[in-house]
Amino acid sequence: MPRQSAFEVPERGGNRFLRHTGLAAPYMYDNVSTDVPSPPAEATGLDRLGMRGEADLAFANIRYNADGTEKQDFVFNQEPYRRASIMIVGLNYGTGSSRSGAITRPLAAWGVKAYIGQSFGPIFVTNALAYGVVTVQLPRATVDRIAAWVRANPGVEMTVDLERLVVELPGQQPIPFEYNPRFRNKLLSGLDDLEEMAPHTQAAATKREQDERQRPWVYVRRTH
Amino acid sequence: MKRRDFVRTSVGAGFVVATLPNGVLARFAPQQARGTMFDKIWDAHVVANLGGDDYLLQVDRCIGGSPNQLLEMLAAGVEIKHPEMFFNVPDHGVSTDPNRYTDLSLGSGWQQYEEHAERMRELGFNTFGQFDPRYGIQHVVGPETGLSQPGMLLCAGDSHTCTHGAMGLISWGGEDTDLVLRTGTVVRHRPMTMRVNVVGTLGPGLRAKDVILKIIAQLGTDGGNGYAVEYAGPVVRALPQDSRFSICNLAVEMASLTGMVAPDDTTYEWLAGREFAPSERYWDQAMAQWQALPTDADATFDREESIDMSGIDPQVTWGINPEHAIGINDRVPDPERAPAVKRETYRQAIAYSGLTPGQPILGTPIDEAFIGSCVESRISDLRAAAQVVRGRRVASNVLTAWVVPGSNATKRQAEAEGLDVIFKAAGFEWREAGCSKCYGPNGDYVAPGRRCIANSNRNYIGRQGRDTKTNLASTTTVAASAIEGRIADVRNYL
Repeated sequence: MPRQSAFEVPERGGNRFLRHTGLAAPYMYDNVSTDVPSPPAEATGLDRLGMRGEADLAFANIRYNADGTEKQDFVFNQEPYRRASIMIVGLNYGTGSSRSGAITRPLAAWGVKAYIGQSFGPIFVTNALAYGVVTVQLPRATVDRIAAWVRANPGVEMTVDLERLVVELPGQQPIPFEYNPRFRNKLLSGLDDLEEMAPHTQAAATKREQDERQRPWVYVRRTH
Repeated sequence: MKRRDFVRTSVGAGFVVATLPNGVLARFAPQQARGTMFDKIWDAHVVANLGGDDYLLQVDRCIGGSPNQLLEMLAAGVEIKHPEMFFNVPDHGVSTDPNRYTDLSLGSGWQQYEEHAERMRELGFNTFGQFDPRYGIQHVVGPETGLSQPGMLLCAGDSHTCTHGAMGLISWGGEDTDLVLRTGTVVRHRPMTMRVNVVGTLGPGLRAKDVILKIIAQLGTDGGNGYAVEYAGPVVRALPQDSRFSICNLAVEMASLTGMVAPDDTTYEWLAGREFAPSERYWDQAMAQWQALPTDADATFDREESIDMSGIDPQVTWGINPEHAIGINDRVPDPERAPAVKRETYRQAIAYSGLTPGQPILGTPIDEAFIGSCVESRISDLRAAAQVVRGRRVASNVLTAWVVPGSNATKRQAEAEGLDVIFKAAGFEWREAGCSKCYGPNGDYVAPGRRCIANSNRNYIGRQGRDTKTNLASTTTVAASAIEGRIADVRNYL
């Protein structure tokens, strides 16, 4: 049956993130590509069942059987992780394609606003920034420790705080993390991409003009 | 002052370029730049530093895959800054069914696209639609039409845009092409640089695809994360241009921002005379700039790796990401004996793949065989595959065996050489150009649960369809496996 998206997915660009408190779900596999959180709709076989919304398609191949019933081994199909909105992931999470569905689908399905992992695919990080989602990178041992804490404390919420640059687990020392200062500033202020680029419009135009004289062959004319 | 120094100075100030009088920049010719090829090209495209290692860069070419985004922008009255640098080549959603020209319901979005294509052309957008003789997969068409040239910065939506780097340029994919259309610029974090020196001698029957799978197996699916990778060394130098694209195509499969190969005479000869290549008038001037692009002898990389290809077997993947590549004579690994950090993912891979730890990968029965995609669907790939299947038959247990040329031009050339006849006689389906079963909402999928040996680039869970198992291999290994109906050693077909 088609499900209503429980969470709103914003327009791309200019989205804020200050802090987020919620339950976390560990998905501790390495090199999980965008194909997994954002599979091609037709290939899931679920569109025939009317399940073709953003929320339905999140992790569809490992979340649902072909008949639309849930797969029990998928973390978001288990209590208390059904209500999770933070993902704890392994190495190079979100590698692969440039599909922003890897961000927007889990956002639509569970409101996933934060990822804590050992590392992330480079395009995934760019997409996360655009949708106001954070990708907190920490050493593997720390990520493992957080995942273990999550499993040992079912139903206890944690906080990812970008202003203070800490992950807070109740009863634990805050875990500091580093973040690209430009990314952080954009997320804290909600600075839009075009606003950020605007001060350099003239510099870009001048550069292009100069470059056209140096590399005229690069500039294709319709009459070429 | 050398151009490199100039760029370094100017980016700090942000506006220095704009305040220079006309003609000053011309004195700092690009051939004076020093460093790695990546540094030279990056520096030449810097418009401004945005803090830290984040930069605003000039884009030379932008390739779009769907007209929808562009049409929406036009409908909203958005100004497109440089329509002439944008090329629309919708590849993912196009069916490769031979009936696609008459049945516009095949694939997705074609009806709408054909309705709007003419308007887009009128508005000044370069559009290669499915009826265009130049149509095909973006990363085949770009270089094939001469759009991708040494020294450029090229952006597109698709992540395999890194393929173009084999021309000696910087390229990447991302979903921020709307910003490129609006501004002619793009923002990226400057990566570190890595050189992968591919040394030794490649044995008979081995191809570029085996080389890059071996590199990824060794360095990891995350091995290039944070880096721009230059592939160098005698093995890469000896590769024809077609095959260099295969190497750079999988740069993103090791999580690199981009992959590159330095241009040389092989590149220039390959490029000369193509539609958008520099005309005679500019060729010498272009060559002078291109020849200054390769990494200087004294340049340093943040990381260097050397990988020896001597004695390696043809490569094939057993699992669920590209680093799960092993030699054709190797056995499927046992998760319980894997390094602790890899165990969890290996367990998932074994469960998904349906293979048993310790079983030889050679001889694993297959259900489907796929030759195509932006990795190896160029004419030299099709020739090599035809050589293997000539006079043979696809095994009866192989339920579909497809050959999908990378472009209309490749298809025409293959047909002129009679390759289509060879494939069809062997029992392969000869399809129209497009992305096909590699990925896309184009109707071409592997049937649920089946095992497909594919010459494409991704073997992740669900990539080719629900519960489908993908074994990545070279084009000729796929051809040989289709003939045997199980994963085969192509060296028996030389």
